[in-house]
Amino acid sequence: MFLYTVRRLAALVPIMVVVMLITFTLGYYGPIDPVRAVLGEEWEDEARYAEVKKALGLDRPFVIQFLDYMGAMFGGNWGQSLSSFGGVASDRAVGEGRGAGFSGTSTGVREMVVGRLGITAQLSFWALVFLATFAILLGVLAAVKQNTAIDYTIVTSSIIASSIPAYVIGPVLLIVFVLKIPVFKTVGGWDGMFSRQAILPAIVLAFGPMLVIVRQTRAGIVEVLGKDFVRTARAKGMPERLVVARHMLRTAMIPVLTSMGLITSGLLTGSLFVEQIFNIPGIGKLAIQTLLSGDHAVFMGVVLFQSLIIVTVNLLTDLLYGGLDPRVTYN
Amino acid sequence: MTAEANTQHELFAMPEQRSLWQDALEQLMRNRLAIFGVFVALLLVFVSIFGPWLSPYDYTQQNLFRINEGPSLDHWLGTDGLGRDMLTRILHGARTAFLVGLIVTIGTTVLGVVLGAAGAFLGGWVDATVMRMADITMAFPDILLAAFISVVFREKVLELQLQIQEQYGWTLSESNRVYLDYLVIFGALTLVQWYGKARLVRGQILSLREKEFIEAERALGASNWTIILNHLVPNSLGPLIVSITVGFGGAMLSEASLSFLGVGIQPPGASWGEMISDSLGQWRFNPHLVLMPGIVLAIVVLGFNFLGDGLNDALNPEQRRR
Repeated sequence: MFLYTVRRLAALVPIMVVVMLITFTLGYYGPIDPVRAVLGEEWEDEARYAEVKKALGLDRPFVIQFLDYMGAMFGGNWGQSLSSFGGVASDRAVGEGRGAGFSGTSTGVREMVVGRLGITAQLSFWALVFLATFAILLGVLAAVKQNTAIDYTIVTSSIIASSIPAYVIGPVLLIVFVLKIPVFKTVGGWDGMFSRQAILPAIVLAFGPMLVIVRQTRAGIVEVLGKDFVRTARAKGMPERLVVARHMLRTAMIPVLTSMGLITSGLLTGSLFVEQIFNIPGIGKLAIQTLLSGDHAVFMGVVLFQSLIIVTVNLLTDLLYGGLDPRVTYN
Repeated sequence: MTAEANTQHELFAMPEQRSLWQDALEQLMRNRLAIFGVFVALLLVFVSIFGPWLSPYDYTQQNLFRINEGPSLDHWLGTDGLGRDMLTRILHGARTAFLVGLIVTIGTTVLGVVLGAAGAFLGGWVDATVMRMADITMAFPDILLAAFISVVFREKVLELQLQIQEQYGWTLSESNRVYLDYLVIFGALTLVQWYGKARLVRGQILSLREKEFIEAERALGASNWTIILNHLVPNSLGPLIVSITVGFGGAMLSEASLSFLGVGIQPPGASWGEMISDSLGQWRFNPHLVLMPGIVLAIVVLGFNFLGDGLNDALNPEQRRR
């Protein structure tokens, strides 16, 4: 098991290197010339152009630039946002809207990415709370009422909830809960995770993975419905509620728990639509802003960071699966 | 296959034969949600072919005297912020969605089947390369990678088109370069979404190869091609069809997502995602502008998901959910 873990960890390095190479190549051939972005109007001055190009290290060959970039990334220096150089880029690269002032405080890519991730993580936390309560409850209900109208309704509505993209559900919820039934007065922006503004976006974010949880919980419970230990629990006079909670749910939760990791990485990397609609300065919003403004260093930082989250969580899920289920062996 | 079945039927007077496909069709017809999916898919095909003739307006035609209107007799679904007819744009958006779904699905299926089959049959370094490529593609946040590719290549494709136009004087359209956006989206989404089908095909072939009936066939002296055509292809077709259906919906959704983020189909092209982001600022004052393309997109995506689900239940009975 230990050897296996080490081997899997080692296999991550070449994957991340290639991911870095692809990202860097795209950025290198991208449409935005960083020198021009830094210089603004001045870029036509050839001497000045060459000077800045040299200062940024962009006059070196591609391979050297890439190796340099890779070394710096592994060393923890993810580079600088274009906005740190002043010029036109800064006006466009700095965040927009309410509560987006965070991006102005630092221009180091790592600080920006990690700082914005905090907001996305808080949002994802609430989404996970919604999922862990409502989705599991619905799954249990569907399983207990297996093959009845309640079961079909729950499963079908979870399919609907998870199929419709956030940028459709988001506006619909806005129109319903702000215009038609004014539950919320202020929407959009970010005011900390305990403000009312966080509720709607977290709900929208939770819609996506809902189906997976409902289905897995339902399947897990259905599997143990007729098992001996459940019958024994009933036979000794245990109330049905406790049979479900103590015996069935506990066994059924193993696949759900292992998939929680994947769901978390899905939330952290997939929050960009919710953030875009509700104007939340999270990591997804940062990615879109910097992609559109041509601040490639930051965008690449986000992509690489999210890739790291994805591969790490995939690995952890595999390992956890083995740890929880003694039937899985590695050799 | 039918000819063979018929002769067998005459020779041995076998009871009525029912193929997997007949069973599957019957099972599918019993699933009401899947029928809804079939209906949505057919409607999408019809609208994307005949859409422009169904409405009297052009999808780029603006009327600045009649902006942000609600539904009326002239404009059944109202007009958007530039006075363009919403219904016309939604119809044209269907064409965009369908085209992207079709081409990207063809691209990913061809790539997936070729790479997956090559990996499974050739093994060795070919297999290792294909699988590492899949691992690497999977490691990326998919929407961001597709967005990055489309931003980078849009510029390149545009330059190329301008060069071609200068040298040969050839261009599809002087004013409307939406077709370049289509090209970029096709490429970006194919590159990001191929690996699912490659892994599926590879897995199917590898697991089928170990089955007893293939071994029996081999022992009877069947050639490789006989085994591939008579056993491997029909047996892995079911999961592949499901994956194609779900992938079709997924590709349309990804196009809408990219366009929503502003890196997909650019104005004046019509895409449901672009229409939503275009009118998002209006949700307080003209909610119908956001709702209409949103509802259409939701119905289409749902339709394809239901259809995929129904096909999965019908074609892969061994993994049917209880």
